[in-house]
Amino acid sequence: MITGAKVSVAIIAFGLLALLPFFLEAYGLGLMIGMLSYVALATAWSMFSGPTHYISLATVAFYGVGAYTVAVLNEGISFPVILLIAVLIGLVLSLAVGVATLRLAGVYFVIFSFGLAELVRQLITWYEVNVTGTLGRYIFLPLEPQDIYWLLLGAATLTLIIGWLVRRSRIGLALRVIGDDEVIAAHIGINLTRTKLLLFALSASLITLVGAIQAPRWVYIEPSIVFNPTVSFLTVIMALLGGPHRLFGPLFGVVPLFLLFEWLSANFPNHYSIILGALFIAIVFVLPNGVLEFLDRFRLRRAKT
Amino acid sequence: MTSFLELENVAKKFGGLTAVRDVSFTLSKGEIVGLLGPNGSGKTTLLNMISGANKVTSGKISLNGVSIDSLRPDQIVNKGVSRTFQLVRILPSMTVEENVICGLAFRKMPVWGAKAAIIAREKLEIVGLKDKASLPGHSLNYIDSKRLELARALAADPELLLLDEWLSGLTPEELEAGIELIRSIETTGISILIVEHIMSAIRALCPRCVVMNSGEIIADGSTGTVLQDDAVSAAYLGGAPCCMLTISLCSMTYILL
Repeated sequence: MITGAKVSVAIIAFGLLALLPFFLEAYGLGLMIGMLSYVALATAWSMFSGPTHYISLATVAFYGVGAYTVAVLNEGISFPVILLIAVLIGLVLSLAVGVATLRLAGVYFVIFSFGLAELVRQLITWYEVNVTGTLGRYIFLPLEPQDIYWLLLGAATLTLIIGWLVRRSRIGLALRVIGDDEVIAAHIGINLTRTKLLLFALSASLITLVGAIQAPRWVYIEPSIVFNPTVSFLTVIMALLGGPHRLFGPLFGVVPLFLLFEWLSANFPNHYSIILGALFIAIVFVLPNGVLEFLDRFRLRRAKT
Repeated sequence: MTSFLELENVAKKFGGLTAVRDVSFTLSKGEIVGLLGPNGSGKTTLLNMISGANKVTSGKISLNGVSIDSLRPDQIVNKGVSRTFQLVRILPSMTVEENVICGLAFRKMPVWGAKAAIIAREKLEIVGLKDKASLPGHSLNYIDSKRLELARALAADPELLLLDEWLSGLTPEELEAGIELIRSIETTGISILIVEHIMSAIRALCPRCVVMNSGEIIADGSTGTVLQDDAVSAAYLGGAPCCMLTISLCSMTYILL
């Protein structure tokens, strides 16, 4: 339920976060930019994959397309227009992919979504090498880190608001029914294809937006940088740790994991992926429904005894 | 009586296997009809074709004169057909009440929000689950799951209800209550097609029944006459004493399960 108090807390939190760039050094701001982008990514991912249990590893496909759109268009067009074009490209791509893949169930969808990211990356590489003749591209945009921070704060807030609206709506309920049992869903009047497609496209468009906003941070872009599959895996782990069934679940997964990964990559650069894999396994086994649900159960159990 | 549901030369092939061949029958508005036949005779496949879960290979199915055989299940629900499943299907992550609300939220005239909760309670009261409204769906026992499935099917506001062995696996007392429940639903004007193995239930509920064997209709008429039919006995029941044995074996299997 939504209460006045909760809204006030949300607005105050937003206000404080918006003021943060005035107090932070470059390193702190960089950290916050990374964290906010994962909050938006994991929340957008959970919007579709949380209720439906369609585990998508295609996050980086859309994220990379967003970044690449900026790299291609960054001269001569204003940044907001570029962002809009990026979102539209993400939307069209996700609709096309969704039509082809959302009939796949379970592990087939997971594998396809992973393959999609590789496919997009290879296609762009091929195009750049054979047609344009330039593999890498430079992005020169007059954007300061704090501008990117504010844009990401906006994107993350927008994603949370959309997520909240979806959860309250009939389509949010339809997604939960689909996640529970597609046969029931069809037999109570839910149009499976349309519902899944709509939410997949919404989630993918938001992910594309995040990629596009972050692009100017790289300055130099090539496919292997922006289509790094680690982005997809981190998004899934963070969302699963926090709990993809709740609006703020992913957020609670992002903050600790992002800080942990930051620390790991600074201190154990060579063993980073091993630790990442082990964590992934541990989270799925120990906290299948996420931290928030685990805490709730724990509280319930204590209340009973 | 005008025909409401009409099947014309309906057939279904799964690869080389013909599950249903050349089935034609009609059901009138408000009629309750039993669909009988041994295991594998094509009853559930026929039900699946009416509800849209399976597509017909050939033939026509129409409802109120409108063809429905090329529609998806969700479109057929919106035409006024809802069903239960042979293997009970409940939404496990939702409460009993939410299960019914799902039936209300996506029908032709959707109900949503506070009003949906009220109607959901009404439907739960009809099937006798009002006290368990806030329990999680997965916590219900077999019989209550069946009740819940029926409440969800009713929530879709059907003109035609398809019940796939809904009465199977109940104890004698529950069976009696179940028969009463279906009868009370019938009196509201909903047409019902029941797939069932329990003869006593069919006798009690259905003035007319249709018998299938090997994908074909072998008898269609008043229940009393049809169950006396030699072809029916030979194909399905294999003589009266054996029939009793089959039925008791069936019910025992269900109880054990």
